[in-house]
Amino acid sequence: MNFYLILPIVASVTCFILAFLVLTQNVGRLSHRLYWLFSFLLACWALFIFFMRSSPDPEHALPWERAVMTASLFASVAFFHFCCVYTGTRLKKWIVLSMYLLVAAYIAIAPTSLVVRGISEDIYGFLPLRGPLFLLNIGATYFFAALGLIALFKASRSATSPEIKNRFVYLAIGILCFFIGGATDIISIVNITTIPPLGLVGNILLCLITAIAILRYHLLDIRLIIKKGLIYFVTIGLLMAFYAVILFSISQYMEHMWGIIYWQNALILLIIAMALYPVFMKSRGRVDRWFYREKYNHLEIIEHFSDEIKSTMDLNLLVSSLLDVVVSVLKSERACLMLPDTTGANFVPSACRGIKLNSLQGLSGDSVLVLWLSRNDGFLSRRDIDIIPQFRGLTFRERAMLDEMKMNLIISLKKMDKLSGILILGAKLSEQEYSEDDLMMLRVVCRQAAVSLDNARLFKEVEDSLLELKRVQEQLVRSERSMALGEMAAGVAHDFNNILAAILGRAQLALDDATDERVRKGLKIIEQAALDGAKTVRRLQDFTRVRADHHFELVDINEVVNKTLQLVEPRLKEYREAKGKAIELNLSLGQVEPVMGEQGELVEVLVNIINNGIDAISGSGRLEVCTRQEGNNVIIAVSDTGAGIPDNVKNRIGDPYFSTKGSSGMGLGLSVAYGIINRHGGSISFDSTVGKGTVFYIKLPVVSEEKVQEDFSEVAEEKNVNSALLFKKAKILVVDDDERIREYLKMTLLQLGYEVTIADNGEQGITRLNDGDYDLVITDLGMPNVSGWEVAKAVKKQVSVIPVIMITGWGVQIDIEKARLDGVDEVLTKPFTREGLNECIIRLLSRADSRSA
Amino acid sequence: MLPEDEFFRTHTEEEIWQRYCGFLDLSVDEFMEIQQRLLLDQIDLVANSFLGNKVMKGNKPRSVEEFRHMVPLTVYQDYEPYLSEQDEDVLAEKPIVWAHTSGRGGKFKWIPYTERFLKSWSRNGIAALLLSSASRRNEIRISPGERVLINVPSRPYCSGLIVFRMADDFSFRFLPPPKEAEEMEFQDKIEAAFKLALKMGADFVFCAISSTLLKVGENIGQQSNKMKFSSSMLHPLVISRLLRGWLHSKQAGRSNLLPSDLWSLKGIFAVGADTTIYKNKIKEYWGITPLELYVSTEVVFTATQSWNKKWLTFFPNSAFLEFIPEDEWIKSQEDKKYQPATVLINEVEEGKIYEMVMTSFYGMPLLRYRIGDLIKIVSLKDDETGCKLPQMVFQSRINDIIDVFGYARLDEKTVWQAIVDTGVEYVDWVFRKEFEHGKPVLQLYLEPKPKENITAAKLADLLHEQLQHADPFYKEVVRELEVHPLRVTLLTRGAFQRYYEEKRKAGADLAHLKPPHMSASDDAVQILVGVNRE
Repeated sequence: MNFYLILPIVASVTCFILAFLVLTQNVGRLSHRLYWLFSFLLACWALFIFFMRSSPDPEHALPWERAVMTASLFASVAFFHFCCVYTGTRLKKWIVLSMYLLVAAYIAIAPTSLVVRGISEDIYGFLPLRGPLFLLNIGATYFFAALGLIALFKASRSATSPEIKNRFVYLAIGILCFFIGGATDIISIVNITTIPPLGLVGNILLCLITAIAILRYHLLDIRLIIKKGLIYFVTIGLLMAFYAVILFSISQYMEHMWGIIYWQNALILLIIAMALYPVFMKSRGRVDRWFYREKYNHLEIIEHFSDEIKSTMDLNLLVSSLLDVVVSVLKSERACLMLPDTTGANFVPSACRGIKLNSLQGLSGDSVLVLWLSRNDGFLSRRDIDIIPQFRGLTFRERAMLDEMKMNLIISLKKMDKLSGILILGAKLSEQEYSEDDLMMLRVVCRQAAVSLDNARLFKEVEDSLLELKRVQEQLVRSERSMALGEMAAGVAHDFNNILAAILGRAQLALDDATDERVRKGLKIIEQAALDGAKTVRRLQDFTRVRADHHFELVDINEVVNKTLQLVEPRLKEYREAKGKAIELNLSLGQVEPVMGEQGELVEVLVNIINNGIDAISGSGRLEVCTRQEGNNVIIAVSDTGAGIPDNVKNRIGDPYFSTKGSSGMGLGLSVAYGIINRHGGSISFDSTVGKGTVFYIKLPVVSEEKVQEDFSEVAEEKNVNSALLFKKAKILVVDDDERIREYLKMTLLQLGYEVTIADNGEQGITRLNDGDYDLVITDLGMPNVSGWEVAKAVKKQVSVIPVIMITGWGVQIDIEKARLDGVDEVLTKPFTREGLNECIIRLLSRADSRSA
Repeated sequence: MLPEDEFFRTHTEEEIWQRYCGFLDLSVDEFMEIQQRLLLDQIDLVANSFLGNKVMKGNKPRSVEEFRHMVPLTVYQDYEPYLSEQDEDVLAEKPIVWAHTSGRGGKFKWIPYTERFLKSWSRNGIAALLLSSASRRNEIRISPGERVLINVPSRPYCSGLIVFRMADDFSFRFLPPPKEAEEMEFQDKIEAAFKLALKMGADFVFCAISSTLLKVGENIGQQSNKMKFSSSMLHPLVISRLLRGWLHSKQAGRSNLLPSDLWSLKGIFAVGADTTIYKNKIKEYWGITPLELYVSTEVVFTATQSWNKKWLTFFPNSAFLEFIPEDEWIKSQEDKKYQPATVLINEVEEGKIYEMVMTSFYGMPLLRYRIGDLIKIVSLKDDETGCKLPQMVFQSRINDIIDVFGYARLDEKTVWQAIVDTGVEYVDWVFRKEFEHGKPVLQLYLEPKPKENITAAKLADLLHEQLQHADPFYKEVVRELEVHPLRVTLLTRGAFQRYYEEKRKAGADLAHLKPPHMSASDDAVQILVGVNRE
């Protein structure tokens, strides 16, 4: 046995293995069947060569040589046919038929001398003697092989995917090797030079290259187990080639020295094999390493990644680390990690590599992709997206996103069966497919990452909760402080109101009697001073946000904004003139529904905020006022490009007497604004960045349609009543424990023409109520033992239509809507004017009159 | 290489089956998920368009429930002012092509096709082709280069567009080539197709009217009996095919040739409503059972039969499907203002009849569109194929229903089947309600074939019998009332041909050359019977 004989055996075994693998894969498809036929014929061809070479004499070798020639033609035709089917090149049926008829003809004439007429012996062994059709046989063999090559090159040029292109190229290279090897056979036959016949080497190379194409480029879709088989096939092939060279050299030497003595050869070869065993092991290790290099690298990366994620709980860092690992190891062109948004339902891009984050859209929770990943484990390849029927539900936008990503692989990150992230990978830079080892590595990394990401997210949630808690705590402290201040202000205001009521009332009564102009002038000053004092008290209550009274009407917020801008225009002009720089004012008014409120107060709020904005801008700048509706709220956003609010004072914004403007600011503007908006059932918030500016958001609830309707009916009702006012000498019961107020009320009401009964306290008031038939009751709120609320309730219990007016120094702190529920029809805040009192009485009497009617 | 060719070349049979026919394995929930997702995407796409905004009345529903609550049911008249003018400014997306369908009264319905839409239905077309040739799951009998004999109208008819679109994605060899066929008359097209098929062979047949296949089958048989030869038959391939066919027919003990002797077809897929009626005959002539498809110009491929060719299954991505139950439909027929309630595919019931309501996907304009078809849900699954989705059969066009004494309703399919079952050989027919001495009668106008010698009275009796057999309500009502409401008028030879000629002369389009089977107009009947009446 020598190299001359071993080589065809190696080639035959190699081809048989390949044929077997193809046969087990998918024999149903024509391309697979043809490729199987081709590799089977190659195996036969090599086997025939072995038999030919091992023949004892030319006579025995001749039939095998003839079989070799026929097999080569048949293999070439099968190869061409395979190339046409595989590349989709259409062949007319008669061509196919003619090809196989040609093969059949050659099989028929093979035993004759037409192709091979005899055998001669040469230095390399037996050589065929050419018959008349020999060259035609060779020519036809090359012709069909060349046509196959052309088909492959053509297909590789038009292939869209690099993987498909590589399949064709590898096949073509393999066939080229076969071609060149075959050429050396012919050269040796025609005795042009002394090149040894290398057709079999070409044959082996073809098999090896095809094996690589199968492994790397999914030629013929050989599956995983077969792939592994092929890896070993290649390993053994390479090792056998190494041994074959050594054996060949030794056999040549031994043959030369001692002639052919088989048992000696065998013994020496055994000794050499044992001596070479360490080399064999080493080389096997090398080959293993070559094929499993990725795995070694991946293990290192996983180890490194595990260390990295153990040391951090920062979500952003983890995301970044995961993407870096994946991209650096797998050499992915693009990668994107999507994490759940704040609702937890949808997935939004959290970080990307190789593509801009904002160029990608997220995936909604009801996307078929998200649903599939939630229900299934593992990977999704582009191939899967094309195949799995559920993905018929992918929208074109989602498809566009996957195309934008050049998506090749999608991996779900799951913890306890809950989808916690989606990793999308683009193609590899090498344009190869992701290997099984890549997938294995990804599986491990993603499993680890899913746990770590989830932990990091939980940690962040806890951190955010703590921050929120801290913020709430601070707010609580502030509101406690504010409440204390409010209580104090409320007490002071109450006392002051009582005093002012007495002063104002008495001054007005005295004015009626006074005829001396000097005295009248003095009394008017007193009256005005009392009214001014009352205003000051209200402001005090505004600052401390204890006012609850409101006389709201439907307000168009866009109108409020326009009015405000008219008011601040002079300020802007002044700024321009004083600083020589302009503040650009942009207005963007959206379509908004009306709110309930006091237009004047809302204007005041906006003026305060805009003025603050102007103050915050030092040079040229921009102010922007936008209105929009968000659900059931109207949002007014006022933004400036001013200095911004430093973080350390953000918590104090809105505190009374706190100002960032130093001595030029009173620190009351925003406090008032907060108070007003609070009373309107809204809220104020802001975002500010130092050096960039501040945006204040005022949120006000829109008024419901029912409420608008209700208000319209009420106004209409009052209008009807007012148009037919009935004056009469109404009987009024006055209940007040403060003698000054009681007396003032009595005198004023008598002057106004009413019949008045006085009660010193609540108990007396209720008793008097039983005695007389009253048209209206006026009661103080704060009285010992029986309060004004109890008096009101008693009145309503007795005769529900009798209107009750409550007068109080706490007036603005009482919510009229709530008071009405307790039987109070109107609240009059001390101090009040005589006109105000009378107007209130007439309104209530008229309403009561119309209702009883 | 065309995209789908590449897929066929590089994927296994199982993968190919999954891609095209995998929807047959979906559960109802999975089906609904696809529907819901595509509907919400559709709302996003059309909400800002003029037409979308108009139909949805300025609303933008955020869920299927909101969509069904906020958006009213529509009919073509709601879109007609814009679509008939092919006004592209009112649409959400600029269409790639406009298709038209034959509306009643000689007026076309124009439908714009967006690029997204065209991309989506090519896969459904190949699925139909696969299913037409398969006899079991995962059986792939097609590959690039298949020869498809076509018998469909030219563009812009939907089936003409299907041919062109499918040729863009998959290497079909259409016989005749679609571009050449567009220039041909319908009859010439059929002749050209069969001449080519004799030479090149044929793997599939795609036809819009199944009765044509029947006629072709009959013609081949008759011509083979007469041994008529033409010069085109001298081609060696044609001779070999005819020879082979002749041997087959002799083997089968027949004197005449059938199409199945000449071609070993892999599949026939047909979109006409007559496929059910003629499927046995087609199998007899052509050797295989045709695959029925439910196709409309509005949403193209809507449902297909599976490989067992039994019932039809809806494609999940054809359109958002709603179903008006029969009682609601009747209410809406009685009171045109009534908005009938709809159910979804996961709510339909076995054995019930529904009117179809479709919302097109992929930026197309039709929303909650009443297409005018009645279907019947015959089963909620198909055990034979393992399909877990509701199975349907096409019942009727709404306009093709004739009320019988307020109790029974006869549709085109029932009448057609009954006529076929009488065994009468006919050219064509028209059926409608007429009044005789103030009483309603059901009048059939039928042109018998020359050899047929049945009398009108005999045919009326036979048809009356068959209708009783086919429709239990009809049987009940005629028995209760003891009436025989059928009248038959046998038209003279060539009546329908004369009708076509007259219409052609008047410049009518292909779709309007033929009178409708059901409730034809007085004018149409006048043309048919006016010249010669027996």
